[in-house]
Amino acid sequence: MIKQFKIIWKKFFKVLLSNIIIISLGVALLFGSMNGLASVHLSLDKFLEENHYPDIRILTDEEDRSLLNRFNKKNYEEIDSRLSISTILKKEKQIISVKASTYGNQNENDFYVWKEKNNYTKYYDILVEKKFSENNHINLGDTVSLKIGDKYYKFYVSKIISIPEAMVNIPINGLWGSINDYGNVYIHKNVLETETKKIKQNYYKELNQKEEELSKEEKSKLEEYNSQNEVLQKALREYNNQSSYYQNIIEELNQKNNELQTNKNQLLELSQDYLDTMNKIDDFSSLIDTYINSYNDLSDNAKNYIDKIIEDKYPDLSIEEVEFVSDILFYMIKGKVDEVFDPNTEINQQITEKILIMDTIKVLIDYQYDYYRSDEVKAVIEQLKKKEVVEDQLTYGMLIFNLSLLYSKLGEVTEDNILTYYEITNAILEEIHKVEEKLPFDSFQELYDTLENLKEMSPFLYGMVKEKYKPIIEEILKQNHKVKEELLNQVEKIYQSNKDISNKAELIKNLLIDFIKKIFDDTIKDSLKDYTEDMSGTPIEIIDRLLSQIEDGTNQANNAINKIKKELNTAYQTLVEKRMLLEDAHVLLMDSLSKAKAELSSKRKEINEYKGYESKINELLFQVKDSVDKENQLESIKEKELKDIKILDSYTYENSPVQASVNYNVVGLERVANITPTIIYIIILIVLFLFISLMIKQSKQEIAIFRLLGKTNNEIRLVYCINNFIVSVIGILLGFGLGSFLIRIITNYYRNLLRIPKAVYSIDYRSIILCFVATIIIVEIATLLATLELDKITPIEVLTKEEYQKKQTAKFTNIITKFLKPFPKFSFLVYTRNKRNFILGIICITATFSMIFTSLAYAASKDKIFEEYFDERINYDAQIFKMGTISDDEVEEIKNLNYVEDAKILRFINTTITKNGKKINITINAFDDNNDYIRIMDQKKNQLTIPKHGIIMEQHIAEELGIKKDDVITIQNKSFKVIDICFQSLGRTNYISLEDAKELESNIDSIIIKMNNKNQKQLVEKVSKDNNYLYTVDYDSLRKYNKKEFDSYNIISIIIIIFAIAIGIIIVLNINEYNLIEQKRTLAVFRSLGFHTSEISRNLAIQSIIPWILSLILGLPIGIVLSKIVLKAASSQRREYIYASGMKEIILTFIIVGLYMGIGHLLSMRKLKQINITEEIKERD
Amino acid sequence: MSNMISCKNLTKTYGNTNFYALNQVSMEIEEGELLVIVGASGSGKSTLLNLLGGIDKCTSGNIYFKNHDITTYNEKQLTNYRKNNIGFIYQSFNLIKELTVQENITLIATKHSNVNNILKKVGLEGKNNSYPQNLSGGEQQRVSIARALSKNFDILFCDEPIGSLDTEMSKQILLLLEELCRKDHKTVVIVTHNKDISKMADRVYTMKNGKIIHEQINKEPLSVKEIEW
Ligand SMILES: Nc1ncnc2c1ncn2[C@@H]1O[C@H](COP(=O)(O)OP(=O)(O)O)[C@@H](O)[C@H]1O
Ligand SMILES: [Mg+2]
Repeated sequence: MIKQFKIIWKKFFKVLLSNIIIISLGVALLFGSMNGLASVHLSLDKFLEENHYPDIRILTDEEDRSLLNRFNKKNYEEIDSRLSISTILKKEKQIISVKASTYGNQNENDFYVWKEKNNYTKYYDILVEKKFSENNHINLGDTVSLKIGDKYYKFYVSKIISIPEAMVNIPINGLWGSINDYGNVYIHKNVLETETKKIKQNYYKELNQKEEELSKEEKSKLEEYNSQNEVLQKALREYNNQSSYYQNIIEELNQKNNELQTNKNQLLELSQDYLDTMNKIDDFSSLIDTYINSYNDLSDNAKNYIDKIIEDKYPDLSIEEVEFVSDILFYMIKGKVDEVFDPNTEINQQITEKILIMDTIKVLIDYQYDYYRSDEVKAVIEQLKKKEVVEDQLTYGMLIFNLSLLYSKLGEVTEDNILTYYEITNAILEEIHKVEEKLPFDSFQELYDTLENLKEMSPFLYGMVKEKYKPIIEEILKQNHKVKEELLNQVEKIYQSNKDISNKAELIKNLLIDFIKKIFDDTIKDSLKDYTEDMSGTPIEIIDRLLSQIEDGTNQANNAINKIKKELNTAYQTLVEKRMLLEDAHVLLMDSLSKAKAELSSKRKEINEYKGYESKINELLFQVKDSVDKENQLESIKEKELKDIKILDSYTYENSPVQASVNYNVVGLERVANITPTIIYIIILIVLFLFISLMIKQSKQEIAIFRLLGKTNNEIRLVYCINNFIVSVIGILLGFGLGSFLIRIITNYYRNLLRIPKAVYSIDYRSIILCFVATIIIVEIATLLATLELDKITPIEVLTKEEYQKKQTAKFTNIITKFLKPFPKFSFLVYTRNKRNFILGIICITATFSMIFTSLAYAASKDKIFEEYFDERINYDAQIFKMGTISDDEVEEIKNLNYVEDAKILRFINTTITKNGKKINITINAFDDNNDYIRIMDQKKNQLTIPKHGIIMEQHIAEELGIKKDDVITIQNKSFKVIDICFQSLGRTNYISLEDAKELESNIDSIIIKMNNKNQKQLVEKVSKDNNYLYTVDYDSLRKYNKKEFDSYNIISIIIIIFAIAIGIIIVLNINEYNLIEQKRTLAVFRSLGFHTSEISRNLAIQSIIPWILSLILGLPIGIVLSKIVLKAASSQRREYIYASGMKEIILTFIIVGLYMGIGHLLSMRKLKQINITEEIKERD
Repeated sequence: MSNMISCKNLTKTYGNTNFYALNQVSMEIEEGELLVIVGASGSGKSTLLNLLGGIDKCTSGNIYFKNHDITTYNEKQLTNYRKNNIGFIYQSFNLIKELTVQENITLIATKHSNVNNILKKVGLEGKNNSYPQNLSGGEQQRVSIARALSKNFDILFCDEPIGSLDTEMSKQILLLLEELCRKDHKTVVIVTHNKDISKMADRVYTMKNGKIIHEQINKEPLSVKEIEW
């Protein structure tokens, strides 16, 4: 086995060395970044510990120290309270904003002291923070002046110190920014106490006076208001009474009018009924017409039918009787009705004689009645029967008969009816046919025909028969003809008489209609009796008359109503006028009251501000050692023990501004530093896999021989695994060494950035284990994957090697040679590239490409958000802060300074907002927007304007709270509609108008200023004279200061790029060298043919363009995705990195990759010159 | 006939050994002649050829090509010398197996050479797109001759050109070389350990232990066809 190692190390020393270096780089980065950033935190903790940084800090303006005493040592290890003021420090002509805090006898040693002067007076000593003293050229032993109250006091700089507070870049909670000439200084407790006590006493005197004045004024104003209000209320009550009286009248009138309307409607309905019925009668008469017409179609042969039916139906009648009735009927039908009923006619006499006429009619009626059981018909007939208007029986009979005849046709029009007509017609035809049948024409004709036949058959017989029958036959025939003609004539006559009957029917119809109309009019009139007594005229006339009467009535009523309405209106108008007057009076009253209230509240505010700006604040500092839950401790303090102490502000160690500041700087980078080793480890996996595969491929011969000698694949695999274990151990050890340097670099870097005076390096044993285990696992995975190749090796094939190699290369090189065929200059060496190496190269170069691109993208994004904040968003030169409200006069005063171009108020409201169950602190900026001082933009860079009523929410805050555009949120019990959502990569500020802000409790006011001349000193000098201003910010130097800090974040990018390049060069170097080794003989042939090494080198270099470009094509999308992930991870609460890379980063990455590829290429090309031509082309066999 | 290439006191040792692969060799090659160098294996024939062809450097001595001392050349000049003046043929052909016949030939061709003419000359018409491994040994050797022909050399060095070929194929290659010399008046140097071949040469050097021990001039060289095998 040792021999095998020897072979591997001898043959692949360089590859193994590369593996070691790559592993060590990966380990170094993982190890270094893990421990480096941990060391930063540790250094911070140590520093804070040494400086007695409080575990809990509470801010109060309570004066009575005895109140605080009850905390003492009972529950807390150490309680300290110190005074601090925001004030001005003067050194010669320099004027600087500072926060001066006290130190007592005990906490004198709480600072990390850089420099110390021994001969100091103790009482008027001042301790100055190091960075601050450097920035402002304050030296040990200098004398400076500090403003306390209205006076300046001289202090002696006795110590230069480091203090945790100096690490905080956020002077005002919530405001992002860094003020480089805002400093922290410390003076002796007694100095500040005595001085502030005096000032305080004065303040309170003044305050009490003011308050007294105010309460007097308030009382008188309220009294005046109350008396006025009483009068107003009375007037209002009266107005209400009157207006309800008029309302009642109007209601009554309306009721009456409604009644009239209903009457009218009822009548109109009735007349509509009448018209409807008339229409029905019209329809009825037209129906009669239809029946008359259909009657015309009937044949008079109906007589026969009638005969038959009478015969059937009334069998008890004698034949003569039937014939008689039938004759009469027939007679009548034939149009001789008048004759029948005329007593002078013969037929009438016959009828009378036989006294059969009434019976006949009865029969007929029964028959019709029976046949058409129509109720209407029955009714009419009954009615007619009752009427005894007919004197003459005959007239009566005729009427009844005709009516019945007619009604038989007027019955219900049904399908049955039509069928009946059809049946009747058929029956008549049948009858006619029957009559014809009875005549013996046919038999005679036959006989005649027989005779004619006989004439031909036997003339003799014919002669005999003729002689005998001829005259008889001829006679009979003659008679027959006569009868036939007569019958036909009769039928003809019957048809003729039909028309007369129809005329008669017409006449009867008219009679009937008149009759019905008369009956109907009477009933209508009956119902109209309810409405009027005057029954003259037709019903329609009566109705018209009634309607016009109602119309008159309505008009009269309307007139009356209108008249009353008019009167009411005028009365109402006077009421309204009265009311308006009242309202005006009310408004005036309210106005004066609210003015008075505003005046009062502003005065009260003034007093509050006065209180707020006491400049004397006690900070309670609790040192709670080893407390498990500081957060809960703080809560319990707030709840139970400090009930009578006003807490202005508080925090615990974990969420202190110092920690926030460190997290702000480090957390994002920590995440990036976690992602990068992961990527490097993936690269290690790939590279090792490919390198080991390469080794195996190169060792096929040896492996085949070992196999022939009886070793199994697993034994050989074990050799590789052990070998790579050794390689990784060496790599890991080297990596720990390199990583230790990295720890130092990172720790020191951040220590400087965060101003921690001493670095503490720590190595977490877990990181050692992690690095070790992770690396070994990755390496062994790569080894096992690569050694899968072993199973493909068959010794026989390998030992007849030519065959084996041909198969390997042909396909791949063919593709590329084909691709490059048009460029023979570039293509002639393509096949010297090994497929696996080629892919290996592309993968690794792609990976480094994306790493470098990501690093550059990070840098670009960082610059971008910096620019966005300082160049796009902020457009003013200086800012003056003040506790409390700034008046317009104060702004005007600043504006009038000759070096000030323009100035404006910018108000800060730090408040909490709760939505969807989440509660967070937000900062609201209030100012009047004209897009000139601060540009508010949404994510698409559209400029937003501050709305008059509403709020512009910052996108991140909105998302966190689940707020959308047009939602309504409540801030300090005031509703705001979300008008727009703005986007800020840095800081999270919301915006409202200054006007709306007046209704909210504001914390800090500031004036933002555009200056004619960028020198801020004059402004500071001016402002420092005023007691109320806190400090000024000069945005030009703020920008420079922050730029420095921002640029310092590049360290991670630089480290990653260096690592990527190092890995890249190693890979390129190895690949190129292996290409050369593999293709030595071919290259020697080229050389012997007269190719220059430079030609070959150039050609190989040009071919590297393929992986170069491929790395761009593949690496760019990966890089973009990766950088988006990294930027997301690096983003913190107050800082979002947005993807901002452009062509510049792509080109730069491309060039960097090209450069290291070039360097790798050049380094490996030295090998080319070393190829011994004679050695290589020598015969081998 | 003018002097094409000559050498004087040419010595070659490998490494720091005392072993002389070439020992004080002086010789000359005339333009247009067919020179055969014979000698046992290891006698220094290949070494001499490599030195003359500019692919190796001598330990001491001088080589004159057309009155220029190529031992003073730097790498670049030497490469140009190989490129412009020398053609090489090896026993193992040294063709690039990944390239077609045509591509192999045109690898370093001068601008005016016509591939098809050259192929016709070596009797390989229509084989432009074949790959070397699909050709017989004799054909492969012809491709390597064609590759040499494509660059219009002054002198063609053939190191054991028929060493790995059978008799029939060997004959064809020798015919081709003979034709190059006799018809096209190229200078051809053939190194071999086969003494029969020397019958076709104008001149024959015999080498032993790194020295030329004998020079023979054939006034009437036989043609390849006349040589008995
Ligand atoms: N690279 C080398 N290193 C050491 N000795 C060599 C080398 N090349 C050739 N030789 C020796 O030089 C001598 C001549 O070799 P060579 O010219 O190849 O002989 P030939 O071609 O006549 O068979 C041989 O003895 C050989 O062993
Ligand atoms: Mg030899």
